[in-house]
This record gives sequence, C-alpha cells and structure tokens, in this order.
Amino acid sequence: MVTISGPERNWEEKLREQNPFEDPLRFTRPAPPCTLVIFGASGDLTKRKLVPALYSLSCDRRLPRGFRVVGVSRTPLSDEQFREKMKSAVQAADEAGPLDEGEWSGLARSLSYLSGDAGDAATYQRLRGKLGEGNVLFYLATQPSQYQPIVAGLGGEGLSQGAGWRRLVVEKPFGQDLESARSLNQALQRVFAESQIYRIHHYLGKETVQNILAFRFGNGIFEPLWNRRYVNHVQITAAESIGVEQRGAFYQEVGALRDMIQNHLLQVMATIAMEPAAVYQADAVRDERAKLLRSVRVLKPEEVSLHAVAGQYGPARVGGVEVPGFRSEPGVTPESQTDTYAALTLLVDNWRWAGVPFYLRTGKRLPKRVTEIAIEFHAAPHAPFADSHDALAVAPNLLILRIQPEEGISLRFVAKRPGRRMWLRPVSMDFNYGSSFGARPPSAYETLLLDAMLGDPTLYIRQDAVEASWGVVQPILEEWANRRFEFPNYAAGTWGPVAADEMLARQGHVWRRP
Amino acid sequence: MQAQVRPENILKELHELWVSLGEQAGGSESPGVLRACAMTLVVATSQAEDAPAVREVLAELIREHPSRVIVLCLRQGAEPLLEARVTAECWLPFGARQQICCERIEISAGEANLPDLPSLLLALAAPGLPVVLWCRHAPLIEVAEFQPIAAVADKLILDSSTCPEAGSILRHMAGLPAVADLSWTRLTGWREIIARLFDDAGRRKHLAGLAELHISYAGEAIPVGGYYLAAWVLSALGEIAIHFDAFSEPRPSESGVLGLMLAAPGWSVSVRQVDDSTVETVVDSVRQRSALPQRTEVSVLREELAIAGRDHVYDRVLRLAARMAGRQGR
Repeated sequence: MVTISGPERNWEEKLREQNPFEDPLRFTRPAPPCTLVIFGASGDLTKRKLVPALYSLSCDRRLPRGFRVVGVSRTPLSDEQFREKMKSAVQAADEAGPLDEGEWSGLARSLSYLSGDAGDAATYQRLRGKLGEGNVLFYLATQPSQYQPIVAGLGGEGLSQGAGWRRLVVEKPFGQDLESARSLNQALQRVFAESQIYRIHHYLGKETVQNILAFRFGNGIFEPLWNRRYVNHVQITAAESIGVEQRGAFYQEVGALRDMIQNHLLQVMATIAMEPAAVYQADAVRDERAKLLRSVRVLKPEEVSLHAVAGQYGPARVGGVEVPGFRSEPGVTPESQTDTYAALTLLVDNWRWAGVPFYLRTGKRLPKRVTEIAIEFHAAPHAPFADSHDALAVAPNLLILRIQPEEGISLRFVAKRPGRRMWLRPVSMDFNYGSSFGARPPSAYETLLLDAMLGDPTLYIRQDAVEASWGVVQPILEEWANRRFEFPNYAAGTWGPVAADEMLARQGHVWRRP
Repeated sequence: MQAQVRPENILKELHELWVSLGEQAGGSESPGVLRACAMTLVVATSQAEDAPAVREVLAELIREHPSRVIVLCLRQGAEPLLEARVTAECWLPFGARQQICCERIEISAGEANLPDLPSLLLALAAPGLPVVLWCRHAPLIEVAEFQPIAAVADKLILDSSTCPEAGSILRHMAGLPAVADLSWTRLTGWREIIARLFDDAGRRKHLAGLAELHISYAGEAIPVGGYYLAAWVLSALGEIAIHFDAFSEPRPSESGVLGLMLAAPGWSVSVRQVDDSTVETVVDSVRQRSALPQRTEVSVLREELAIAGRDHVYDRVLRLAARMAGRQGR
C-alpha cells in the first residue's frame, strides 16, 4: 500500500492538536482534574497503600488542582471520622515518611465519605449526587466478591459515562480460575469498555520491575545473550518469611499458586522473557507481554506431577520462636489441602526460549523475604585451567535481578585469585538500585494511581494477559484439586519441600539460595 | 619553582583511599563501602570564598548523581600554583547497611598553570563516563585560557546570571557545542505555568493571531532570562512576526523575569510575579495564583544533571535569544 501525504496542515490545525509550549524533557505531565472514588474505603488496602500513596503524590505536587477523593464503604462514618482514620493510616505507613500536618490538611480537605451498601441502588444515586460531570476514577479496593455488584450498580446509575472520562481500577485477583476470570471480564465489559478498565498489578508498578525493561532494552550488551543459546535456565523466586498472619481463612481459599504465581510471578516472567516492543507505549508493551504468556506451554494433566510441586508448611522453631504449622493458624481447617508453597517448571514455546526451563517458586514461612530473578548462563564450553578442580571455579555466569528487599542487579563471573597459581573464584559485581540514585523512588501505588489519572495503562494488565496467565495455571489447579497431598511437607524456616529440589534435579539443576 | 601534579600520583592516592575505606568499614560481616560513580563532575570556581558553598552543593548533588568530583579552584596571581588532594564523600542512606562513597579531587591552580589543567582533567576523568563541567562563574568562559578546559567536557553548565551583559554571554554560549545555562533552568517553573494555560485547545486558537509579546524584568537591562522567555515563546510559535518589547520594573526577581503578556486582537494572557514564591495569571478575565517557589542552586543543578543528552528546545531558544539580544543591543 502506498500512502501519499497531503499538503502540510496549516498552523491553526496544528495548534488545535497540540500545545506548542509543551517540553516533555523538563515538564512533568500534569494529571487532569478528577475525582477518585474508592470502594472499600475503610478497608486494609485503602489504609495501607492507597491513601499513603495519595499523600506522597500530594507532597510531590503531583495531584491535580481540584482533586477529590470520595470513600465508599458500608461502615457508617462521617467525613471527619474518615479523615481521621486516613490520617492515622498515613502516620502508620512506612512508605509515606513522617506526616507533615500542613501537607496532610491540604489532602484531608479533598476527602469525603459515603456510607452505603454495594448492592443497594441508593448508594449509586447518592454517589451520582456527589460526583457531578467531571473526570472520575473508580477504584475497587473491596473483596473480589463485591466487584460485580459494584460495577452493575455503577452501570445502573449510568456512572460509567459522563462529560469527562470514566475509568475503573480493579485489584487482583481477577477471578479464581480461567472461567471466573472470563466471567468477571464479561461483567466489567458490560458496563465499561476495555479501554476504561485498569487491572492493577502492583508488581508491575515497582521501579525495579520497570527497570528490567530498561536493563534489557536500554543496553546493547545483554539482549544478544538473552536467549536459548546462552541462557541455561531462569529461576524466579518470591519468598516470604511470614506465615498467613490473620488472613488464614482468606488464604485457605486461595493458596500460593493463585495468590502469587498466577499473577505476580507470571507477570515478572513475561517481563523477563517478552520480545522488545517497538515503542514504550501501552499497547505495544502489553501486546508483547500477552504474546509471551500465550507462548508458555500449558501442562497436560499427566505432566503436572512432574513439573509442579505443592507444599504446605508445618510447625518448627525459627529463630528461637515456635511457629505454628499452617493447619494450626487461626481460621484454617486442620485438614487443609491449601498450598502455601508452589513451584513450577515452565517452558516457552518460541524461538528465543525453546528448551530453556523457567523455574518459578513462591512460599510462605521460607527462610527470608526475597524476590529475585536469577538467570543462569551456560558454562564456558571448555575449561582450560587444569588446576581448577573446585566446582566453584567453573561456576557459570549468573545474572541476578533483585526486586526486593534491596533492589539491584548482580553479575557473577569468574576471576583469578591473587597468587602464583591459576586458581579461579566466582566474584560478584553489584549494582544497588536504591543506593545509586539518591532520590526516593515512588511506591508502586503512587506510580500506578498517577498513571490511571493520566490515562496511561502501560503498567496495567489487559484482559488477554489475565486470561492467558489463568490458562497456564488452570490445569495445575484442576489436578491439585483432585489430589490428596501429604501435608505438611516442609518445615517453617526452610526452602520448601524436597519434591521441589527433585523437580530441578531431574533437569540437572539446583535451586539457588537467595 | 615549577608547580607540578602528576595524574598517576593522584590516581594512586585514589586507589589507596579505597583500600583504606574498605579497611575502615572492616569485618567479614560488613558489607563494606560502595563506590558510586555515574559521571565526572568538574566544578570550576575562581573565588576562594565560594569553597564552603560549593562543598555543600556538591554534598547534596552527589547523592542523586554519584560522581567523581573534581573541584578546580582557580586562583589569581602570577605565582605558579598547582596542587591536588584527594578525599571521599561518604554517606549512609536511610535504612541501608552499606555506606556509599564518591571520590573528590580538589585541584588548586594559579593563572600560570591553567594550560596544565586540560591534560590533567583528561587523565583524571572517570573512564567511559560523561564529563560535566559546572563553571560557577560564567565570565570564566570568556577567558581564552579556559577554553581548552571547557573543551574536555561533554556538557558545560554555566550560570549566565553572574554575567553583567546579556548579549555578550548569549553570543558566546550560542557558539559552544553543548551548553546549559542555569538562568534557563530557573525558568522551567515559569514556562510550565505558561504551557499549562494553553492545555485548553480553545485558548490555543488565539495563538495563531498573536501580535504582541511583552516581558517585564528586574534591573536596568533585559536579563538573559528575559531574552530566553521571549525566545522560547517565539520559537514555540515558529518564530512568527510579532511586536516584542520589554520594560524594567523596580522589583527584585530571582530569574530576572517579573512578568509576561501575550496579546492577540481582543484577547490577552498575562503571568506576573506577585511575590518571591507566587505568580498570578490572568486569562479570559480569570485571575489565578500559582506557587512558583524560588529555585536553589542545588535544585537547578539537579535538573540539569538529570539531562544527559541535548536539550533541543534550549538549543533553539539560545540561538534565537542571542539574535534578539544582538538586535536589541544595536
């Protein structure tokens, strides 16, 4: 097809389309005036993450003029009581820093509260009265069971459309399985267009996860190595040292595979393994992520026991303290079959990654809290240093991308020990992300809230990616639902069940100790 | 007596410094110190009394832009002088276990030793990383012996507000390959407020018929900032033919600029400084006040150091501002 350009558009036309004074190199793009409606305003997420993030944005002057927050929840509260609760939340939050009374009073004036039931049409009528015609960002920070009634309520009152833009932020989990994810997507799309829906995944808002893209596609030297010719295997670990705390009843219904692997780890894997997008724009990046997830080989039922390991922690003494097993946690049934640990071997069916195992593991009550990606390269094809019998001396190169707690990048390579003999030792070259740039990085929720106000969904998940990731875990969920596990199978404070080590051993690999 | 500094001795001292810092951190359980370096930041200062202020600015800057810092203290007088000393600037980030350290080389040089500095800088610059030269006294750049020193840098940062005559420094800077001016950086807030007024497409249609541009300024002559602001408006609008004038007001201003008015037939917009930290905009008969806090030296430098490549908007504005100042001077 040949495109013939027409005559150059005149100056007036150009002025209509763009602001000639814009200077993206220096100016911060301002969010347009809008109202944020938080459903689940008296809940944990609002207190721990959303309002502290709004406070930080307010301190950084990133909130638009005329910004308002309407909190909606069943708990009866006055505006003033809501503000007091939120103030305490900001004071208690780690990320927001010490509270500045002046800054807080500015934000507090924008907060108001609406008490109402999600299933009651009158709630949405009253909400309509509070909103007017401007831009509105609806945020579902409730239990997932409330999503569909809220969206239906918003649709019933015509609140998904207005003179300004209307957007909907939905928190994970996006369904409990593939079928419920599809059903949720259909329910959301009956009221909101896909372009209005922002499925939040806070991992993707983390600076370090975004830095993976910078590292891969901003440097010329790594991408040529980023494929089956050089990469032996990849290990993605998200370990927590704590148990289920007070969330036993909730966690029992979810488990590690649904809670962490289906969304967090598969999204991280997609970021590690996706093809480069042509431009760093929402659809281009999200196309590549979704494409990668669709390329992950779906396990056949008979393969599940070989490539997926479920675990549940038992009681142990950790650091001088007796910790209970999962089945003794409050709210958990004594015969619970819930996985508090899950490990998978996944393969990606494309030219870049054919035959390279991606090992994913997550668990509670593991020895430490750490999230990292370890990319192990093939060993040097020939070892000319005859004296180096030590296995360490021929350790393959390893690239570690640490997401938490100390974000950074390490490259392990082999160097000669000082001395007369040719003895080799692995050494590590470290880049510490937090320390090397003094500025406070924004929290994931600051980044994601601002992006939603600006209409940039790059770091949000699209429907096809959600369904593709459910497609990967669905056969495992189904197999595990039909099995009776010998739980508990790992002691609290250890790196998980022996079966997970055996899964790697079959491939000649071992789990890295982070 | 011949003053002499050998770069290999300084590099050796740097090496010994790192060994000693590692030993001080001590212990097998200690994470040691982290050497951070993203660029070589050369600071040229010609006034001895600047030293404490420069030290404070650098201490803040390197936390965000970790650098090998080379401070050039240029002394007046015919006596040969070339001395160097090496130190480290270390800090422990909040909540971290590992100290971060940056190298700092302080070189004192007399006028007679200015020709020794370029080769010294070339030897001492951190390998493979950009070299940024912050020339704290812009008039230095017009000194012939300083040119080879400036030529070592990938980016030169000046503060033209320290120059007495706008036209001369603008013309000089327009001839330099990669230059940044803190007088321009101080206008970012002004420019952003003006730009936001035209986010509304309805207002933008008036720009096509713009006929007048007025700038008010502090002082006796149009400051560099005044030329920049006018040149920015004109270059954004495609250098249209417009009536430009500037007038002085007896009020102080950090950037030298006190206000701007754009007028088309039957329509105008103005932005005016009300006090040290507030401006008032008037557009479509609506008055609105916005915060425009004064910029510290650290904050403007931080903004400039964050820009690694060329600022094409500034490059265009500088060329036009130099032309405007030339015409105004005639």
